[in-house]
Amino acid sequence: MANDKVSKISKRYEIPIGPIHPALKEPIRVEAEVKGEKVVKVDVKRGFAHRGIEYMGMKRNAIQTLYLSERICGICSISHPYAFVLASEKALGIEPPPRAQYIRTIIAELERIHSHILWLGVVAHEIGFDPILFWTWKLREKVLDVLEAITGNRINYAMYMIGGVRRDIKESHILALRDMIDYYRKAADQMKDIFLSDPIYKARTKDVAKLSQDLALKLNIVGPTARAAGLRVDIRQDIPYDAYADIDVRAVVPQDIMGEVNGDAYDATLVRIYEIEQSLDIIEYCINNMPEGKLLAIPNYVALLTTIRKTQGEGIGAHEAPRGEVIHYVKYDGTRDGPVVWKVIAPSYNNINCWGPLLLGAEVADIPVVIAFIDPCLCCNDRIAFVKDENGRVLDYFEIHNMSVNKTMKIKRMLGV
Amino acid sequence: MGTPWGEVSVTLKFDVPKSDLVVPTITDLMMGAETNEREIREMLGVEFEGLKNKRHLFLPDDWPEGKYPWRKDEHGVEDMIKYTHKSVTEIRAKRGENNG
Amino acid sequence: MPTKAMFLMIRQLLQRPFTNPFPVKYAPKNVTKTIEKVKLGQMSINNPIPVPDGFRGKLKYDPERCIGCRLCITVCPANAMEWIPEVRKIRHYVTRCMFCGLCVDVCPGKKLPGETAPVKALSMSKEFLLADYDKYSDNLIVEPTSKEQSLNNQEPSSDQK
Repeated sequence: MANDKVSKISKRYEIPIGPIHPALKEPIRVEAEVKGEKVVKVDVKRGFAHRGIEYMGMKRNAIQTLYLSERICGICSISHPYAFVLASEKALGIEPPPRAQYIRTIIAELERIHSHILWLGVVAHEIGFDPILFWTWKLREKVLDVLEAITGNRINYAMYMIGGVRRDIKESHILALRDMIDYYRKAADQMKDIFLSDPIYKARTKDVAKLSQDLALKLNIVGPTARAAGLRVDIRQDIPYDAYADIDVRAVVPQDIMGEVNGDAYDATLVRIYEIEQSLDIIEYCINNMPEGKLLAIPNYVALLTTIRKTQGEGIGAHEAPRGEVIHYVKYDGTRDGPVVWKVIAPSYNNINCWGPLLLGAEVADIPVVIAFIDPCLCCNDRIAFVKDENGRVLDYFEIHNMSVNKTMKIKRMLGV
Repeated sequence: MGTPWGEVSVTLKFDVPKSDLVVPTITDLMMGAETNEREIREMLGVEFEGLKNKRHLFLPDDWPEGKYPWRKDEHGVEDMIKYTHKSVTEIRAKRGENNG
Repeated sequence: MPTKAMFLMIRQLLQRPFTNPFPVKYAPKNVTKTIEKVKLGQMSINNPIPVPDGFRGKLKYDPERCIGCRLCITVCPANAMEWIPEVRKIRHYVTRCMFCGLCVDVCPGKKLPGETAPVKALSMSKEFLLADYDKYSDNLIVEPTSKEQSLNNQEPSSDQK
């Protein structure tokens, strides 16, 4: 009898999370089997936002594709163009002018600051710390204002061009940048107080999502998640490009700051806050040592497109995005003015690998933290959606639209509105 | 690892005949390669010998067998893109019909 | 145990909201009535925060300056430009536009008699309140006016050089 009772308690339940779930802002499905509070089996299903954007790029010319790549993701709206221009410049053999290289680096670091602060807010939200979410997002406004002043928009900056940048950083922008650096130096200290020394935050994140150095290496984990596990990986350090080659960028790892590595969500927070400070140093260096000169290697877009049409070549561009390394592969074959092959590997592509091993043995309440701690960006990761009817026929857009209109009418009739 | 210019990236390129698309897996050496191998398997139809998890990665589970989106010799880029935008002249002509 | 985060939270409660309450401070009970009141001048709305220089809003198009080179159609990533063959001008769909400003960069413009430098036909305005119920509404399509279209139709020979 007693055994029966135990077996009933130890029954396994399946908890589906997603594709649409309040804890995840983007569609992905995690199927977890739980025994009591412990997760015993995990399955991650991705591909809910697969749009086939690479095929759209293969139909357009290179300049159009560059701006299309910016639309892969809103938050990484500099990372994808950056990797794309690096890949294209390698394929075409164009060297951007030094000033343009420095401006690119500044913009990329500004994006890192806003993305990291956004992540801090999201993680605070996932553990139920909503006032901190609002506080961090208030801090984020400053860098968005600076980005808006320099590039014209808060997000989707339209700043990069193959062989340079489109807009200059003026004297007034440099003043705004210096002001911003002071603001965030103070804010980073505050963030350290709020996040790193807070007992509640510590309790929720210490030893949660613990990733060992060995496992991180085996699962190809990249970016701040890998650095939190103690791996010294950073594209800015390993394969420097643009202004990073002049600055001795070193990967921020917890063993240098705390003296020990846990690889948990707490360490990920630590790495990100210190990386904000590192980004401020990089921006300060760039504005102090900004060379004068041109902004574009080939200022005329028509000439650029003609060059692309005449060139055969392929290139791989790697950029250290806020979430990890983003890699673009571009191939030009000399017949058209756009890429014939374009492939994107976003950081979350590799980072989602770690959800399976990390969720095993975790508690149900920790699932959002584990999921959020890699800073997943699913629009980057997934990049053809099909809807089928009960007979397995693929429905097109107009049929789906009509079906939803009919359903709304049905509900209206049922409610008598 | 951990020093500037310390990373060496290696690109492996294989030519495999279309009649015999089998490549040995590297997941036993590098667990993280599973994602890449699953993507290549579903998109190109290349079988990986020894790959344990053969579920679809991005494509839906009921994706038809034998259709591979990345095979450009079977279908071009044009087949993959659908242009849904209509010209406003078309819309205005339609509206004119409705009103009149 | 009081923590710094707690003080921060309490301080935040007492502070004024950081964001600009646009267009009104509280969500109105009846939106259409509010809009009518604003139109009649009985109510005022909070102004939005001014946009910086170089802001990329709705595209402005001056058909007189357009030489019909089609460069903007070549570079537009979203294919938001449509060629009108009858008048050799373009039509722009704001709903498809992604506000990158490439067309403005690439536009060569036209030099009218008495000017020293060519002025571009395209420019980015600061208008950003573009919401509409219909994506083909006249507000969201930038095109030469019908008058200009018919004028050009009468004398196409001067444009076709």
